[in-house]
Amino acid sequence: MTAASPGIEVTDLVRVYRGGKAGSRHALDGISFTVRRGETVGLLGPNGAGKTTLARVLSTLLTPTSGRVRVAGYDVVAQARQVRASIGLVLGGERGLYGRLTADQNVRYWAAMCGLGRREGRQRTREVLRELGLAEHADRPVERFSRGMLQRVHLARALVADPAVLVLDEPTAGMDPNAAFGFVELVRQLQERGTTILLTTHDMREAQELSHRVVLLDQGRIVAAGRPAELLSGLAEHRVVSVAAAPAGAVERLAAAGGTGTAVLDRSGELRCTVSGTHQLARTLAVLGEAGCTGISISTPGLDDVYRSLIPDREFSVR
Amino acid sequence: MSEHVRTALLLVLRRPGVLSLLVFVPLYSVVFFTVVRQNGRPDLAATVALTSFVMTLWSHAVFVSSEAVDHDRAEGMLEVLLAAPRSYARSLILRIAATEAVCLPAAAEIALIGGWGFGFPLRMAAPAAFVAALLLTFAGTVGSAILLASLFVLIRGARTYQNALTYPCYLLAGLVVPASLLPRPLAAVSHGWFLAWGADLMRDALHAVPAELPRRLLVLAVLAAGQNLAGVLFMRRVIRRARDGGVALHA
Repeated sequence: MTAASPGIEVTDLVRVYRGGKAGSRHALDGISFTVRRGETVGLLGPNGAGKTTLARVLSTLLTPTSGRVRVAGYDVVAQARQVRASIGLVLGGERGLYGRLTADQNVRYWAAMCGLGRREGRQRTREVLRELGLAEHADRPVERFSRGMLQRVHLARALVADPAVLVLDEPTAGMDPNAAFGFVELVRQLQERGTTILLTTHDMREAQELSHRVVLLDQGRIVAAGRPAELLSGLAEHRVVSVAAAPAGAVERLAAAGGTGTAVLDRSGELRCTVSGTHQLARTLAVLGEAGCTGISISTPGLDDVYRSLIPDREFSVR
Repeated sequence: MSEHVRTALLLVLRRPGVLSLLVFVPLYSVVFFTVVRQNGRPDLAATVALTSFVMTLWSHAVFVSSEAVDHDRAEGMLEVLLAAPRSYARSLILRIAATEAVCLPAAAEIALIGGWGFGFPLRMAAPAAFVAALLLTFAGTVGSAILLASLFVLIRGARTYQNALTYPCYLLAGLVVPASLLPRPLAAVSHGWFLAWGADLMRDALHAVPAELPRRLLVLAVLAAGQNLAGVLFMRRVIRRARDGGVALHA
């Protein structure tokens, strides 16, 4: 990475998918943002927002339609080879490894694809597998690995050539909570070493815990960007009142009472009501108490509330 | 051994099904040797053995070596490998060549069937010429596999025609009947194809030092190089299209 350059620099990036009966589609529509060296930026957004397209452009898998993208100071079009040597890509999902090969064989092949010599590749493979807790499983075919272990192999592969920038594309998708927690801990260790990380995720808690800054993407455009605390400052007066198992009619009683927040009941039966200010909080608690609710909890808003306030639910809305 | 070659060999050996060709195709030799014995023509045994071997070489290129890119795509590896610092095309060429080399022991297999199983004396009169022709023919089949590997990714459904790439190609290569007996347009195609030149040269080398050996080797080398060039250029085009979003990176 060149001395003064940011880890990632995206300027007016447009990526258009052409063709088909649907015509052209702007997957990314003029986005600009920067990830400073050693910083972790969380990229959030609904399905189809453009997160994976952005990850692919950064890793030179897709060329930009227009705009400028630099990774570790190198241009993704004019200096694609240098970009590939500077970036480690971790894709979520169960694929992306040769299932019949062992963890050691998968990572060693990748080391060769990174230009490491045979001896150096073997040594680095051993080191990263040990660091990621896979030393004992190095000689097992990865098709027998759990989801969490597979993701560690993905990370080992990304780290074998010691890249300056790491792009994690939904790395904990589909993991059980323990595996996801373990993976997050590994990312923390990388942060301590000063690795620049771009993390695309649907997991708001993970983004809030790991990201120095977050970028919210919707329909190919940035709708909000900043430190999590900055984004949450707009919701400083807000509180979320939750009732784990709300009795029937609680939502309707809140609506009828007036002066309460907006309540929604999810499929598990949990009632969530976002309120603003002390008066609304008191009124909501009173109505819920009258409705016979127990197990009421009050929490401050998180990134998921910011997300919901900025990005409408299109997938489950009926048009 | 390079990691690319090692990986290719591991991928083949961990899928024993793909080695079935090495069992089935040489069985042709059993049929051919039986016919030769039945008709009392032991002088044709070496030619028959060569025919079986070239068939194995070609069908391995069509059915196994050419699967490399498609296999990468099915495993979700294509996307990952295109993001690697080193050239995916270079790695693929090494891997396809290594995979293709896996079928070379079929020559020994066929020789054993002919020699031990049927008692035919299988000797070659000009081993150096034979080996030179074999190496160039092998290089040509690697080029063909590279071309097919790219084709199978670029054109959906192209693999449906894999079977159609065997028997007609055996005919064109003069493996079933002499190429000179083919109708004129087909004979012309055969005359410009490395496999026909390679098979001819190896066949001649079984019986004597082939006539016009340097010229024929040169032509074979040019045709094999052309096949490789076509394969590599086509593969680069596929990779470029993949980066432009024109090729699905996942199966």
